[in-house]
Amino acid sequence: MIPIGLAREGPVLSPCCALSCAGLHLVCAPRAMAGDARSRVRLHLAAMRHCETFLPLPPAAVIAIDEALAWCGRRTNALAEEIDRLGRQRQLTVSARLVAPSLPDAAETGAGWLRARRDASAHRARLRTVLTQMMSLLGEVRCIPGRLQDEVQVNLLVPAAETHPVLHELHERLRIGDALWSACTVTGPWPPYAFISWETA
Amino acid sequence: MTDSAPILQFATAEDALQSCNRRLVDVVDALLSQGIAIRGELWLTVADVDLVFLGLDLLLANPDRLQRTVPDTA
Repeated sequence: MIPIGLAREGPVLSPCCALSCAGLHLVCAPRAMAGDARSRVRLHLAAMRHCETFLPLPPAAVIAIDEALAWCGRRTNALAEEIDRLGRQRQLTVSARLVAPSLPDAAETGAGWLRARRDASAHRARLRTVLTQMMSLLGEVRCIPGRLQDEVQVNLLVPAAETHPVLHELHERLRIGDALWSACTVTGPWPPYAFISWETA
Repeated sequence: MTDSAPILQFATAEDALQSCNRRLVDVVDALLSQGIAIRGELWLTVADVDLVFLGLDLLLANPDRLQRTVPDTA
């Protein structure tokens, strides 16, 4: 079994199981079902729907059960607070790709290439600011670097019950489009991965 | 600037997980965006006598990423 998350209480989706530790539940999944990060994310999504206080461990993390139990024992209060803070919250992720920069003839030179990179960096910062301002009215916002160099990723934290109205509002705001991005993808609801801060000490 | 209209897509978490097909260049791009740290050690020993130690610390990342990560010490 591999630990995939923590919960206050509540049912655990079969074939996962919950190990009780200092009042918290360490939710574990069979190794065969949680072998890679993508499989663990699928399990997180299922667990999130099944148990409203479930919070996932980082998908890329593989932690031994005895270490996870010891960690729960040491950090019970901090972990419980994190579950209470985020357990009923969801994350919506907006990934926007920059408009392809117009490359002048100077881009064929080294100096032109550097200028193009500088402009792209400034463009990315502007896009991050615009998206952050646009989304901060809808919930807590946290930016992380996009998966690709020309991408900006902004995460929005919203209560689970308000996910659909917020998605609708996001659609209204983003469909107007903006000269800053060429493509914008909204995914979710996810567990609040970008907002969880597990105490690991 | 492109003349085409911006594309706006919505996807559920499950759909996003399914449509994660990436080209190799995207994977390299993503790795550079997040940063890679490589640490290696090589000892050359003959007859239990250590002759040469080769240590390697290599950090490969997008400069923008490093600037956001390194705390401001000013």
